[in-house]
Amino acid sequence: MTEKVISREKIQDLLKKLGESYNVFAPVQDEGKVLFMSLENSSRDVVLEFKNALKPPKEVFFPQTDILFTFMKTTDGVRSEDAQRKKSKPNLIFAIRPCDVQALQLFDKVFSGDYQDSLYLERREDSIIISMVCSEPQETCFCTSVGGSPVTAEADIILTDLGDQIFASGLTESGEKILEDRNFKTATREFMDKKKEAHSRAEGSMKEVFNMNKISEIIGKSFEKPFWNDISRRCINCYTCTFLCPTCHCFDITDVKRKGGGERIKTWDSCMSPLFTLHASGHNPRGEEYSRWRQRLFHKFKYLPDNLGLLGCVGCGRCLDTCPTGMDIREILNIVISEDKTKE
Amino acid sequence: MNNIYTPDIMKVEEIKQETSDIKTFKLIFDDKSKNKEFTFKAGQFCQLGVFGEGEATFCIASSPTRKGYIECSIKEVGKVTRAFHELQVGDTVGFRGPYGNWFPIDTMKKKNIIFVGGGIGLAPLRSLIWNCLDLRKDFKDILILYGARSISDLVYKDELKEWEERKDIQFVKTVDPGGEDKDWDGEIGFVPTILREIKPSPKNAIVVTCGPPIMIKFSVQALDAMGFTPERIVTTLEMRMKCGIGKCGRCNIGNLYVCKDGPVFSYDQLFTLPDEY
Ligand SMILES: Cc1cc2nc3c(=O)[nH]c(=O)nc-3n(C[C@H](O)[C@H](O)[C@H](O)COP(=O)(O)OP(=O)(O)OC[C@H]3O[C@@H](n4cnc5c(N)ncnc54)[C@H](O)[C@@H]3O)c2cc1C
Ligand code: SF4
Ligand code: SF4
Ligand code: FES
Repeated sequence: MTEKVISREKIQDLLKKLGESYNVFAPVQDEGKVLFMSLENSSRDVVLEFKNALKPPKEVFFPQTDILFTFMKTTDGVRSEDAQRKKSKPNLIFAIRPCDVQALQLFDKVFSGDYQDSLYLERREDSIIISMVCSEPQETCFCTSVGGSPVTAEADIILTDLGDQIFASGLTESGEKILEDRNFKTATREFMDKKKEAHSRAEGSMKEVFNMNKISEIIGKSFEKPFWNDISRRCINCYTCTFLCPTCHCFDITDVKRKGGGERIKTWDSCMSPLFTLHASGHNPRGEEYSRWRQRLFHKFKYLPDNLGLLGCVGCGRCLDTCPTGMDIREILNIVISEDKTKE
Repeated sequence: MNNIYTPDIMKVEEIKQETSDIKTFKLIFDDKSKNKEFTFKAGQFCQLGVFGEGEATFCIASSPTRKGYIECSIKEVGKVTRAFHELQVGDTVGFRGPYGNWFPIDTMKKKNIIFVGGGIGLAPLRSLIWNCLDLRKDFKDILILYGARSISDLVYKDELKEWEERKDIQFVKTVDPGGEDKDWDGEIGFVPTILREIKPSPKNAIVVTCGPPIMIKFSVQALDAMGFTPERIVTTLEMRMKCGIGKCGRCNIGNLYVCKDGPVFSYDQLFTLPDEY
C-alpha cells in the first residue's frame, strides 16, 4: 500500500490533471446541497467539507434516465440503433463516501451475472473510485451496524482529511499509479499517526443502532407478522427513500415517441409505488402499503443476501434523513428484532 | 458488449382474431439466419414491443417443434396490447427472449399428461400441447380439459376441433353455466367441476395448468382431493415484468424472480413461497 499526502490547495490542480484521462465526478455545492457532478459539465468548486451528498453517485453508472437504444421508422418497418454512449474516458468518482462505495459492490453483482447489462458495465469498466473517510459521521449514519465502516472502502484510493493535508492510501495498482502524481508527497510518521487518530475517532463516534446478528434470518421469519401494517402507516409513497438510496436499483423500461421514431429508455423505479407490480387485470400482489414496505425491507435484508450475498443497505441514512414523514428504517428494524425476541 | 435490451426485429406474418379481444400473431425474424437457428422451450416467454409504445410480456404460444416462426396470443388490456391489436400484417415488432424456465417436458415423458386450461391461459399450454402431440409416442395418455366463460371466449377454435377429432387424446371443452348456446356440444360447468367429474387418475400422471387464479385455486383443490401430490402439479405464473432477466426488481415472490426462476413452478415450490402473487 502506498501512503501519501496532498495539501488541500493542490486538490483542484490534481482534479484538473485527472480530468485529462478521466471523466471526473466530484462533490460540488448546488443550491445549498452537495451533489456529485461531472467536472466536464460544471465549473463549480469541489467541496470536501461535506457530510454526504444528497444523491448517491450511483447515477454515474446508473443514470436516472438511460437511453437503451433509438429507433426510426423506415420504408420497410423500423430500424433500431444502439444509443451512442460516448465514453471517451473512463469515469472517476472523487471523494465518494465508504457506504456509497459498498453500494457499488451490490450494483456490480446486480448488473452482471448471466445477463450482462452493458450500459452499466461499460460505464463501470476501468472506472476509478477515490473514497473519502467520514471523519465526522452524521447522526443518521449507521454503516457499522450493517457490516460497513466509515474508514475503509473497496476503492482504488482512500483519502483521510487531516486539515491542511489530505492523507491518501493507494489500495490498487491504478490507485497507486495516480498517487505518483507530483502533487502527492510521501507521508511522514506524523501524518500516519494523525490518520490513525482520525480513523479511531471516526470509528469511535459510530454507535451500533441495531444488532445485525442473524438479521436476515429474523426478517425472514417476520413475513406473516401483524406489525407490518402499523409500522408502515405513515408512508405516503413519495418514493424518496428508494430514489435516494445508494443500493436501490429497480428500474422501468418505457418508450418515448419522437418525430419519425423515438427511443426506449430505462428509468429509476420504486417498489414503494403501487404501480410497480400492478397487473393489467387490476390484480396487485403488493397493492397494500404495508406489503410494499415489507418488500423493501425483505429485499434489502433477506432476498439480496440470499441471492447475491450482500445486504441491500449500507447504512448511509439518506432514507431516514429525507423521508417527509420521518420513517426510520433503524427503528423499524429494531421493531422487527424485538418482536422476534418477544416471540421466543 | 451486446446490449441485452435491444430487441430482434420481427415482422408480423399473420394475424388471427381469436375472440373479441384476443389476437394471435405469427411472427418471423427479419434476420433469416436467426429465424432458422432460433430455439426455445415450451413455457418460456418473451418481451415483445411495438416501437414507440413499449414492451410487454407474452408467453410463446407456438410449439418449439414448429420451426421458422413463433406465435403469441395477445389480449387487449392496456397500452402496449392495444398497440399490438392495431398492427397489420407486415408491421414490425421487437422481440427479446426467450426468457425464463420451461415446462419439465423431459420428466413428463412416459407419463400420462393432464392439461387444465382456462381462457387465455391456454396460450402457454398450447405450446406444450403441440410439443407433446408432435412427439406423441413419447407420452402415455393425454387429457386436455379447456374451459372459458362463454363460447365466444374460447381461443384457438380450429385447433380445439382438431383435438376433438383426434383418437389418440381425450379432449374435453366446457363453458361456464350461461355461456353456452343451443348448439353447444361441450360440457357446461366451471373447469374445476368438470375436472372432478372426469376424475383422472393420479397414477403416473402430471398435471399442467394455467388460467385465471380462481380456476387454478379450485382445480388444485380438486386435484389434491384426487390424490395428486403437489410436485406433480405444474403451473405458469404471471407477474408484472419489465426486464425479463432478473434485474428490474419487480417480479419477485419471496426471493424467487418469476422472470428467471419461473414462470413455471410446481406446487411443492409454490407452497413454500410467501403468498404475494
Ligand atoms: C410470463 C407472462 C406471460 C404472459 N403471457 C401473456 C400472453 O400470452 N398473452 C397475453 O395477452 N398476456 C400475457 N401476459 C400478460 C401481459 O404481459 C399483460 O397483459 C401486458 O403486459 C399488459 O400490457 P399493456 O401495456 O397492454 O397494459 P398496461 O397499459 O401496462 O396496463 C394495463 C392496465 O394496468 C393499469 N395500469 C398500468 N399502468 C398504469 C398507470 N400508470 N396508471 C394507472 N393504471 C395503470 C391500467 O388498469 C391499465 O389498463 C403475460 C404475463 C407474464 C408475466
Ligand atoms: S420516503 Fe418515507 S414517505 Fe416516502 S416512500 Fe419512503 S417511507 Fe414512504
Ligand atoms: S436503506 Fe436507507 S440507510 Fe440503507 S442504504 Fe438505502 S438510503 Fe441508506
Ligand atoms: S421482470 Fe425484471 S426482475 Fe423480473
